[in-house]
Amino acid sequence: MLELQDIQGIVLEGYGKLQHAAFILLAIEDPKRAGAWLASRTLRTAADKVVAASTNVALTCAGLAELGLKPPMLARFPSEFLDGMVSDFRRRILGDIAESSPENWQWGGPHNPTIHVLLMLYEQDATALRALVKRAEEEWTQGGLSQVELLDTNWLPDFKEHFGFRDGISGVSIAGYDNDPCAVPAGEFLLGYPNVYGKYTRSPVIDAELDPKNVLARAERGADLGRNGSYLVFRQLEQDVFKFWEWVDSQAHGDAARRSWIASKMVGRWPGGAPLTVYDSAEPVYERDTLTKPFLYAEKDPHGQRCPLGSHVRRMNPRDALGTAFKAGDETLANAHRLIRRGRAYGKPLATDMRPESFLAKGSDNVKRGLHFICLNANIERQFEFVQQTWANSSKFSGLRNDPDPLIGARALPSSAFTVQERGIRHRYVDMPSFVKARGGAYFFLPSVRAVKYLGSRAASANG
Amino acid sequence: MLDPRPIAKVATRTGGMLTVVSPLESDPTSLESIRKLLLDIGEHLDDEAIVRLRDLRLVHFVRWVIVPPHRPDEPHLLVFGSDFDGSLEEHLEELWRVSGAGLNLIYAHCASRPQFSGAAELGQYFTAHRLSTAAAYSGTPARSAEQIRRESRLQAAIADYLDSDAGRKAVEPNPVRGARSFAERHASPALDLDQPPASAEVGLAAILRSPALYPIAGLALATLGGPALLGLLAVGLREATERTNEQDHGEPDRALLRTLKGREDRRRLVQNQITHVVPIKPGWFRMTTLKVVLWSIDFLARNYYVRGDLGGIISIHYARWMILEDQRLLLFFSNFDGSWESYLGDFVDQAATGLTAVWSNTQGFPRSLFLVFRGARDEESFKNWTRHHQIETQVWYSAYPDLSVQNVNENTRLHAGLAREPRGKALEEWLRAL
Repeated sequence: MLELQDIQGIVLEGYGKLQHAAFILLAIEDPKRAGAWLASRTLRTAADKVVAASTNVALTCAGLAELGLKPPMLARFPSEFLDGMVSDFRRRILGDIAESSPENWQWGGPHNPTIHVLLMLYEQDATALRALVKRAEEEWTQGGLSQVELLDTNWLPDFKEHFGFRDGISGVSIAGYDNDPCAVPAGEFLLGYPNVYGKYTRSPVIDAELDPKNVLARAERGADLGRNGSYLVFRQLEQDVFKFWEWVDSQAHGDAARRSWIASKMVGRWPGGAPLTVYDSAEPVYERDTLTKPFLYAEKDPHGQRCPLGSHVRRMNPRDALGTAFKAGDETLANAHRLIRRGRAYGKPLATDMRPESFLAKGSDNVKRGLHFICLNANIERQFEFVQQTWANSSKFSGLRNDPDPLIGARALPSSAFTVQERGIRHRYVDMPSFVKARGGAYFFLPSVRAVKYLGSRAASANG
Repeated sequence: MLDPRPIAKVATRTGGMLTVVSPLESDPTSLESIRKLLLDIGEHLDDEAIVRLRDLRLVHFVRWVIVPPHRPDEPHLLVFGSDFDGSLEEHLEELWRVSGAGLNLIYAHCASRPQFSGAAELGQYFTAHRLSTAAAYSGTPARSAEQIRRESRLQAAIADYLDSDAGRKAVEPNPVRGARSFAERHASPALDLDQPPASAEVGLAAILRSPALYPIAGLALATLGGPALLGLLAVGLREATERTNEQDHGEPDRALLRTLKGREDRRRLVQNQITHVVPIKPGWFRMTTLKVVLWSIDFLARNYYVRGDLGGIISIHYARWMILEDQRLLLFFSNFDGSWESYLGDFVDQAATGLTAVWSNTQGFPRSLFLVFRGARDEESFKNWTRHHQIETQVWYSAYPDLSVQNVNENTRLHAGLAREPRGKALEEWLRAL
């Protein structure tokens, strides 16, 4: 059983009923006051079922240090969290090169101010969110924090993302929470529970004497700061919607049906969200179970003739199609690399009807739009970084030659391609530019409710 | 850029692996200077350097690595490793021709300060300091580097042709004939289109891969089963009585991690390498067990795993284990596709049994049970242990850095199809190789 009242709600719920959200990046100016501010946050927990103002909070490594965690204790955290998202090695594996270089980022890069805290606010409507943000701003200013960046979000029509495809369809089921025989062990997303290997992912356990009031759960060698917590990866991904459709249109020689077919092959779903693996010839009429119909690849589509091997959804979760001899129905290999996605779109859509012909008619505008990509995992290196490098950026995924993820993959080779496998000769689309660029990002620790209280009250009562 | 050598010569690989171990001068200045020299060579593989590895036509992978001592009274070791085509003489002759002066600069840092004036002298020294391979595997067996490069150019040319409307139209009615006639018209790359490339499935491998012989294989297994079971029991007893030396390495040292990661994924996220050195547990029993296990792996790798996968892992170009008897060290070199994290993940998910059988005989390995159980299945501990014993590879060269094992094997399938005119299922497979 999961300790729901100790887990921040965003781990287990996407807050789909709270369609208005703001993400605020804060810097700590006065650690003592900031500690008091942190300890007095009313956080939405996984046990709360309210549909009203919700707050969650996460901290960077610099934030933990600012709150008084000393280097020997910080060293109990994994190195990728300590290093942060920006290092020479991570640029290469995350694809933060060329246009996506951290030097050009709006936040989180080497030329941007340090971030300590991520405050996530959710509300039912725009007016209520504005009020919530205003109140929060007064409190963080009083609490010795300053705003580095306020990231707005925009819930798009028909649950779509900016390119015009339905998003957020297949989430991860979590064992002990969701009633699903194929659920992934909770330890993949929360510290303190067994992971896919039946082991406990290393958790930051601090010396017991640092927690004299026993606020934290006890572990074998001290007080467990990690238990019921998770790691939150945040990346701001800017999408060039016109460039995307313009390129697809040029590959389709202006044919509207062909255009939609190529773009759907790149995504792995039709614009309305129906999976190509199930509906390969044309977009179906949507019925109640069209989106939720379960599907696997190994038996029905081992060679990508329905859903291309290099398509975005197949890369993001290859299900039972990993390894040499696919074991039909066996998702064990893929399950060691799952992520809980909690991202939200930002910026006005290029056209409100979200149709390609409207996007193309509209042309390029200067509005910044994209996705605030947010994901949760227990092991950043084995989960987020692996997915980004091995499944999205690698042009060799699934035996391909020169094909990065058509949507989010870095274009590391001189000419990137997208291949549509067919029964006869494959179609290959070459010189595919990149349609998405990183504009900011950071790794955060999303502590348990108890750990937030502990970190806050400890900093508040620190001497000096 | 065609190789003047006849096609027959490049078609098959009759090469080998060379490992040369030389004690280094123990003076710290000299050690620092050799490390700098090697790093400099490693950083400038694409430029005109003193060691022009990219001019070597007869190698697949080359590395130079400095192995630090595990006991205070021992010297640092300079280890050279290569996977070559042709004879050892040809390999050394080419190495000398391409980089003679550079080799003298490097080996001047060794304790015996050898200086070579020709390939013969180099050969003498390298043979005298050669270390034998205990177990080796290749995911792309029986092909020379030249064949791999030419087949890649063939694939690229056909693929580009098919992208054009004209090409597609010409090839579509009969894809194999169409592709073949295109390849013939474009004589480059020089590959024999009539003769299918040699398969590694010859000799014992062909027999072991034949389903008709499974009953016999079963019989052999049953005969070997008795002694093997006794052996495992003995190992189990040893595991139970041995003073446990499993270490909780925790997070690997950050400075080491930074050094290692600093050299990873440098080239378009395609290939990576590992050099790993770990002391073997004390006593004759562990050494013997290790040798038996490595012999078995080597046997299977040569005679069964010849189709590009090693028990499900499809990302290994060339890998090998070697034992440094005097120092009681087990050395592991691997050249693989994709990230370290995905390679190690494959180890845990698909090859934990074999790897536990090898590495449970070495220091600090996560605790095993009856030689093959547990061990590498302890995912986080195993990865930390691996990082802990991994060392910096100062020079690493790949002859075809943009190709994955799967690419190499598909390209050969494509080439073979042009000669064989596949039909039915084989044709479908051939079409997928495009």
